[in-house]
Amino acid sequence: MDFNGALLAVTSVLELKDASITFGGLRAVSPLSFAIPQGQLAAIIGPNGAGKTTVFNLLTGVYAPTSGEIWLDGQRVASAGKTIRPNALVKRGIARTFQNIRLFGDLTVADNVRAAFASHQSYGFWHALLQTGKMASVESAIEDETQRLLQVFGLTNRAENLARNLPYGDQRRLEIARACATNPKVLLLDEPTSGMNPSETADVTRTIRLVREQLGIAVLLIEHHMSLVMEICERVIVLDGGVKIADDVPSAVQNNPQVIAAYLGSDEPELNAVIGT
Amino acid sequence: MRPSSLPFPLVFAWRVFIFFVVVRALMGVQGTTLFAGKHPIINPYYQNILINAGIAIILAVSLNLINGITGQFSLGHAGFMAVGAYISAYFSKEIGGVLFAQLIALISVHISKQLGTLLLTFQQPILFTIAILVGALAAGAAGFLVGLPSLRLRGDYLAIVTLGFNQIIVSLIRNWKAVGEASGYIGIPKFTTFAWVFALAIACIWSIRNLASSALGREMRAVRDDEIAAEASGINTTRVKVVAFVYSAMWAGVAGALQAHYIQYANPNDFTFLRSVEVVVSVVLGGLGSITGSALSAAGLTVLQEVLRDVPGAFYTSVALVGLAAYWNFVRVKSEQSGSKSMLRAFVVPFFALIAICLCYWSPQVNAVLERVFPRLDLPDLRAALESSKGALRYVIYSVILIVVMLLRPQGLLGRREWSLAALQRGRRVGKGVEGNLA
Ligand SMILES: Nc1ncnc2c1ncn2[C@@H]1O[C@H](COP(=O)(O)OP(=O)(O)OP(=O)(O)O)[C@@H](O)[C@H]1O
Ligand SMILES: [Mg+2]
Repeated sequence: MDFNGALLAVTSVLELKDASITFGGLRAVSPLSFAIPQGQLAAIIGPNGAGKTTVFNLLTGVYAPTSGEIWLDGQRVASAGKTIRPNALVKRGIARTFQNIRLFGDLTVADNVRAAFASHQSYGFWHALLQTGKMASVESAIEDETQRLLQVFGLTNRAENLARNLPYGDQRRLEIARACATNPKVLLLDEPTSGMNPSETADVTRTIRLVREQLGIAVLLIEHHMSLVMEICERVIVLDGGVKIADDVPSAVQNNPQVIAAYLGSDEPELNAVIGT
Repeated sequence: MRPSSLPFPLVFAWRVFIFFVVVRALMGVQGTTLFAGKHPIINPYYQNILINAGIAIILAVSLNLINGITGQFSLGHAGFMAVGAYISAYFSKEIGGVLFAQLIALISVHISKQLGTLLLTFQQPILFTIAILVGALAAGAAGFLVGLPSLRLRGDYLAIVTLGFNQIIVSLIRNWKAVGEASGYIGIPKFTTFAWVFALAIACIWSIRNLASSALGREMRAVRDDEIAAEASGINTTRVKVVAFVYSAMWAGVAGALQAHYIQYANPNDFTFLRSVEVVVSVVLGGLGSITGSALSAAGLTVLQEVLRDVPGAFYTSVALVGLAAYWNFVRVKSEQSGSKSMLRAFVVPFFALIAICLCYWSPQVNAVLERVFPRLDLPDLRAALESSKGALRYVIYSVILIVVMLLRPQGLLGRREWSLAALQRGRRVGKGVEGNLA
């Protein structure tokens, strides 16, 4: 089944059109195209150094593409050598987490979430300075949303802890909760289960499902745990050396000879995971 | 104070009312006064200390917005202060008076004579208000210029750039003919009174506390903790940093204006990076990110500086500091559950430091004894040396304080907590403050 073909009819929230990026002489991502329809749960997999994180950095405005375009929610947000700043892209509906967790360590769990309302629930300098009624009402709206998110992500009883004191699994969940607080249309998760034991992985799997079902957000995740990908994703994009080598439903990707070869050639530990499941 | 459910204008009016009652009470009621008159309760000597403390508080609390709350290392606060001092002084001395006279004349002729005379009676406060505003705006503009590199630079690099800016400002002033070049700007009108300093210090603390406890403050702390994550969470890190720099610089400008119109003199040497370092010391000592911490330590250091003016005072302060260091060391060693040997060791350094201080203090007597024993010895009089270098002594004490703080309490006296009356009423001495405590 060719997803790109099927998508022409459906509106896609996120679309790469022949986007590529070169660092010095290294072509980290070769012209790459794919589109994510509303509410889809897709995965990007590939061996180490395949360019997965770089694709996320392109999508979130960290780098401008060397060539090609990126479209978000029907608007072009990046083209060759140009991109919108990350914080402005967040406002347009893209949120992310990082491969190495990045939280506001000295802020409380609740404040980590509250801070992420900056792009869509805020008030100006003078309201803050004079503590106006508008500030009070916006703050109370933020507070309601924050409590709801903490509830959804099971962090309510951690609300007043400093983020850096949380256990690893909670930190991952907080990072996803914070990303959801930006009110995204599409959420990018960079290896949300890396370094986790099976029970923590199961926990994050539940969380991702929740995000999709309760909040209705499209999710694109980079993942090495194949069981998770097979279990919850509708679609798998495989990158190798910056090139897309497969883009299909999980069961088809699993048996794709090119994919198996890519993993075989790279003596990666996840090789067994791909072939074994 | 949290955003109340009462309508805003009411709350605001109430706060202004309370504020004026306090200021009025401090200024005294009809004759029997706290500050003025024949027998003021607070004599000019203490008034001087209070005014200096107020200016130091404005500087420290405002710098805390950049260095503590937003996490950018600025080492050029005295530069902003200089801009505020010189621009406001230039306005009051060269422009304001003339402009005001012309304005009064115009009003008296064209509108009403009564209004003209009424305005004339308020000439000084009106002129001073405008001078402070002009100085603050100029300093804010400088803050904007210096804030720009903060968008690209971090940590040490930003510190060097801001320090460089500080020195550039000082050099510019040294070559500015209209304000007396390197010999200083004299004849600035004396507008600053305790009430002005008090009111502005309160306004500074109040407004920065408000900012810190708002969404903007949250965004500032997010930038401090992780700029990349802040950007990825939709926070406009450029805006946040520029706002912090501009607003902080404006208050430094206000402090400069207050100082210039208090001592009626401005000298470029008073605004070198040494002054910036003093402010950084207050902020670090009080706890990066704690507004009350900055205010308390700024006031404390001002008093300390005053005490250091006479040598016996310096002596006792040094003894107190050594004692404090010894005590902290003792507590630390004890908490490490070591044997009596290391307990002894904890007191060795403070002990020798104490002996050194005593030697300095009794230098003439010690010299007399030593010279009797070794007649050909020509010993320097350490006490005289100390006395003639009070300024330098201050920096020695500052560095000792900094080292002690870095070693024993790197987070500063209050850490990131705030101290408030409300917390006191609840029976806790240290409140949780703005850090994660917004209703
Ligand atoms: N800013 C950069 N400058 C130069 N090279 C870069 C940069 N970012 C990424 N690369 C290179 O691009 C390639 C792809 O890196 P990327 O981080 O996207 O891989 P990945 O698929 O996320 O791998 P992993 O599974 O290890 O996270 C690597 O060779 C990397 O060294
Ligand atoms: Mg990666």
